[in-house]
Amino acid sequence: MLAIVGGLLVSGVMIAIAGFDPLETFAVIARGAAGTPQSLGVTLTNATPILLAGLGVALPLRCGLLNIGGEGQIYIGALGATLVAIAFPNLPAPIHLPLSLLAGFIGGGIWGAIPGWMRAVKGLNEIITTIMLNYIGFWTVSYLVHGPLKDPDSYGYAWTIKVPVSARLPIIHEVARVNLGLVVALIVAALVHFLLWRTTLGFEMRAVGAGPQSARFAGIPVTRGTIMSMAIGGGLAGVAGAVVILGVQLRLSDFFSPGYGFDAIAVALVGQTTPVGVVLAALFFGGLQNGTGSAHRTLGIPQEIALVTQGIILLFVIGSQSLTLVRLLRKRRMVRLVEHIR
Amino acid sequence: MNSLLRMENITKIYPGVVANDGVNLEVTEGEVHALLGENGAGKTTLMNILYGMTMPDEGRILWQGESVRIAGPKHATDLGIGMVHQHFMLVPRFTAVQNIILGTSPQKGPWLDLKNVTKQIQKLADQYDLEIDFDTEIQDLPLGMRQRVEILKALFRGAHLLVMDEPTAVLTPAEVETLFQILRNLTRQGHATIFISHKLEEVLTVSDRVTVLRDGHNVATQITREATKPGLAQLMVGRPVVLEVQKSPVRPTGKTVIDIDDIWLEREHGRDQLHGVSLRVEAGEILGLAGINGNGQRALLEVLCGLTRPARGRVTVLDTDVTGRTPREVAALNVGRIPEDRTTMGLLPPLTIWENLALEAYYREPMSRWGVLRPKVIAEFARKLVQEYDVRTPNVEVKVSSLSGGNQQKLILARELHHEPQALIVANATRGLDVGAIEYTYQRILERRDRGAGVLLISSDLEEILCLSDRIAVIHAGQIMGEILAEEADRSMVGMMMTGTRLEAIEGPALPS
Repeated sequence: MLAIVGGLLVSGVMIAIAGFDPLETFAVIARGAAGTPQSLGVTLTNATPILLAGLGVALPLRCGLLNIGGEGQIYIGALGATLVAIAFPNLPAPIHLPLSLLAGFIGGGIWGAIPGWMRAVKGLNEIITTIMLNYIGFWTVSYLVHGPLKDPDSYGYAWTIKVPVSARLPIIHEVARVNLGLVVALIVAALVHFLLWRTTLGFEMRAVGAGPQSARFAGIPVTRGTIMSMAIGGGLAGVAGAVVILGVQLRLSDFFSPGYGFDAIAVALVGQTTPVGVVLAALFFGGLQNGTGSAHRTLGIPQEIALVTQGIILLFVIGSQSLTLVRLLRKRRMVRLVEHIR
Repeated sequence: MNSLLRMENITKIYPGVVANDGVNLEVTEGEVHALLGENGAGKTTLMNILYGMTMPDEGRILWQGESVRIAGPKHATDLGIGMVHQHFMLVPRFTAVQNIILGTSPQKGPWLDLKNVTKQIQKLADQYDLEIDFDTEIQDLPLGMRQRVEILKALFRGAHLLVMDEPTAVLTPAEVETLFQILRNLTRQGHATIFISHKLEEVLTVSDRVTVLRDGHNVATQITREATKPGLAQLMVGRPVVLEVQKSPVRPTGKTVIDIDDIWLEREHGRDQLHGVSLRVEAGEILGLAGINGNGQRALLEVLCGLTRPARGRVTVLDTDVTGRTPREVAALNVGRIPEDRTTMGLLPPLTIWENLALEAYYREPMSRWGVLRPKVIAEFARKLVQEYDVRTPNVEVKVSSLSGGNQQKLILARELHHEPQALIVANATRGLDVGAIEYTYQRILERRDRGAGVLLISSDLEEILCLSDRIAVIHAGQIMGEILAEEADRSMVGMMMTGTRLEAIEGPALPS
């Protein structure tokens, strides 16, 4: 709470220096984020992919792995969902939509499982491998939408044809323009909670994250936990990509994600790597982005100042939780220790 | 004797805990003053106050007769107080010299005046007879030498009073001997030392006076010559302690429970290898495996638990060949394993008590079904064990990291012994525990033996080996130096084997057949 106040104070000074009234700006940000059903709808729609991708970072983090690869997993997930969506245009919606979402999960899951496997079996640092896979994922999609998958009638835009209606996430609230993706994301968050705290697999992942050496000694299948956490984490990010395509963009391009995979890391940390925390953090993020955007449009505050404000508030929130980071880094040191011993 | 330091009526209250309650401590010039107490007795708090890391709520400190308010470690250092922490505060990638000058920056213009300062440090090392390799990075130095670097670092900063926090915890017996020599040297040259420990033996050997703390109070200050081991133990724990373990005679059964047959293991790092180790543990006996740490014990433990596959040889536990099995398959046998490092091998400190107790059985019925945990069953199980093993905790949802070392140990014992294992593997299990918890651990191990379990006791603590074992084997450089019956063992003989002399070489010519 103090962090948010501090963030507001510092960014208020910034806004004042830029020549705007800070109080008015904050009021506009708040109204823009949740003042009307429409603006609330935009916030919720913004929050949906960040929420899913945030879960995709939080889950491996519980297992002691830092998944920087959300962005690549989002792109490959979106690719999977798009392929299934446009390959079977005649399926009925109750089958087609879940199947497309599942394809998103599998696509992202493969993109997460690769660094998970490299980590568990070859001992390669997942931070580096996930970053590399971001490039490979993004440019693969970029190549496909510029070439083989390009919509012939796109007038030079690099995107695919629209996904058929049967694969689209329907709008569930007409005024707010919120689609079913939000519901999917909330259900997924509940499932992740169940997975982590009520299943043996989740227990294994948390045990590996809490102390890899003790876990191994006790007979926990560390390799399986490591790979599964990254595969599921990647899958969740893949679903994030799928809901953006199937719910909002309706076609795959190489510019549909403004960095959801990176926002996801902040969301996971701010949310203390618990599903409930991630949901709240994602909503906060979505609102902040939406609100600062609206301050830019209505008050004419330069986009840069709006983004800086956003950054400052986030910095304060994350800064106040630096303990989470410290714990994470400690865990990482332990993991390295184990590898050394091995 | 002049008083160098007086801490009077020191009181420090943390939320919920009175860490120090009117503690008095006096150190005179040129003495080694031992500070004795169990974990949590307030030793560390008192020293943190002395070193300016935290402020006392009440009381005052007199340094060389003058009242001082120590504002921080820098201030303490300026006064002439040096601290050697239990966990060394050294940069692993720096050499000894670089570590020693760190933060003092001896300059000559804009450059470090390394040449001059190295000479200075060398002179200081010679003066106190500290043997240090100055050109090697700290990470490649043995622990004993790292500690000497810490001592020299404090002396270089002008320490007159040296505080040593559990200095022997990480050292081999030979290194401990060297350390004591250094302490005597320091005393001879007028330095005073506060020696923090909970090992009675060492306190009696090295100190001039001893102050005992218990539950934040000081119980007594005695002249060491007039103190006795049972007397100090009683002061420390608050009740009479049985230091000698009551042991019933061994009843040989002839049934092998652990059979280690010609195990070979080579590793890249060079240390901790095994070159043809064979050992047999029978039901109803304790086989002690003595040896200085790093001579293959760790490798043997890993092979026994399925963590590492040996290059050659075979291990049989309870008639099951476990060579190359997974850790889980080994854990599922009727085996108890008490590892050497509670927080990094035995427990998951960030998780709760119930999670830690379920660590080896969560995947089976009744604790889970179809991959879903059953919290009620597990919590019930955990509550039962917590009660049975007298773990002090408000409930089983408490994180293990917030428990004391003794209570953590009880958790491991509970998890590993509750199913009445027929084979028990114990590795340096009492390291860092206080007297009460050690006593408890010994009792539980002996109880298992008396009920017919075979126990392999791996330990670098010679006392522990001599006190518990029925037979003793000694490992050195990955080879067994010899095996003897416990009643025929004497300290010097085992000591010689620990440093690499074979039993035949000791016995051969000396004993007439």
